[in-house]
Amino acid sequence: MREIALTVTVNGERVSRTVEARRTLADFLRDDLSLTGTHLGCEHGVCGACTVLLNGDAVRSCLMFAVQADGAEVTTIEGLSERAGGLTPLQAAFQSEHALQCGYCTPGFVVSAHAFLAECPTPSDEEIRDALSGNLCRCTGYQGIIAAVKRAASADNGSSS
Amino acid sequence: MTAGRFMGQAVARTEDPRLLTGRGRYIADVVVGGASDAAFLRSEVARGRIVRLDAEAARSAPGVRAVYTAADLNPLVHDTSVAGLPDAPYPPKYCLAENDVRYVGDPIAIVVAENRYLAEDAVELIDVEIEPQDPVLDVDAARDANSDVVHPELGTNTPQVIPQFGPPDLEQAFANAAHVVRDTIVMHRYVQAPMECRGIIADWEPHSDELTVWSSTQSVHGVQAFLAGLLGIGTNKIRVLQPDVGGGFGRRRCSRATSGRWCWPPRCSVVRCAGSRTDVKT
Repeated sequence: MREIALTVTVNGERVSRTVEARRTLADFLRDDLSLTGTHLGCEHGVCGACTVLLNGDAVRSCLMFAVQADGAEVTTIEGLSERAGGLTPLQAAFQSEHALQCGYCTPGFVVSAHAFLAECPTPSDEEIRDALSGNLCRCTGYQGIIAAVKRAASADNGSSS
Repeated sequence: MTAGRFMGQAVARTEDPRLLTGRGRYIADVVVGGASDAAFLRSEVARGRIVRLDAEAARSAPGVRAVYTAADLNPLVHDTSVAGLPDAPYPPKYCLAENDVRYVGDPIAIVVAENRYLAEDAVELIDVEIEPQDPVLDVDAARDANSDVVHPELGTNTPQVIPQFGPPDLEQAFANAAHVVRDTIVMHRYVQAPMECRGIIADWEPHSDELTVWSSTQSVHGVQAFLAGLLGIGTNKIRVLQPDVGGGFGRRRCSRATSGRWCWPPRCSVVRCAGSRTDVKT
């Protein structure tokens, strides 16, 4: 199987590896870089659990080959989290609004919501629903998740949530 | 004021910070040194007869460490009964489909390889031909005297009957009722779809004859007891660990024969199967 050299900046750290051309970005992140916060739920682009940021845009890492990320900046849930512990305002809002239960879909939602709020800091409920429609949750339901994103947006804008 | 500590308070879940920052540890995140990956060949028809099964090409494919079919594993099965069901000639003692397949997803062969990519490559090399037959789709069809028998060796589609019981005066209650409503309520076959697929890692220690299993279960003792029966070894030889579980809905009990299938290969090594969505369907 053909192997290809790859250099990518992941969570601010530049890494170079040689990978099979067919290796998915998700497997590369999880198995080669041990960034297991990126989850695989469906492996065909439906559930959104594997969402990561590619140059700031939310993408599904199960639908990309690792080599397609050559030269890019990839940010995973680990890169959106405080290294010293504690939660970001968005993560704290998820906890406050009971927006997670088993936690399997959660990193994908947090990454998607992060990218969305960067583009749309004062969203309506409808816009939040639309932005998160590519992520599936099975246990919690979506009301808490929508409330969490709304709370995070309100907090960022300095108004009370 | 001890009651005030929890009652009437919003109590934050202690696991949330871990799960929110990508530090959850689900079955596919568990790393065990030297593990091989397993992949399955599964039936694509609801009922049929296996007329040809040739796994030779898969056995010599790159990275393949073992290929198992019913001929390899079924003779080793000790007991597949599930605790809590009355004694009955069910379920038949088999691990992989032999002669017949009985549902879409019925496993026919297991490939154990250096990694999942190579295991799935080799699964595609297995030459299988299945002659499709009409499936028996519901309870009424199964009870029909002219129905095909799903497990021919049992000779019947109702090998066990759980006795009905109810209030002894039920008939009288109906007789005295002002109105009696009759209806037939049909339920679909209940198939759960949690976000996390099924998965298992099994590590067989040949020197002490001990099995360590990481399973995406919510019933470690159920898995332990089932595997002990299946493998014919004592529960004291089996340790089952439960990582974070990505949703259950009832399917994370002891996964019965499924756990067993995934535990045979490790009698020579460490095998993991982080199942795909296809593995969840069944």
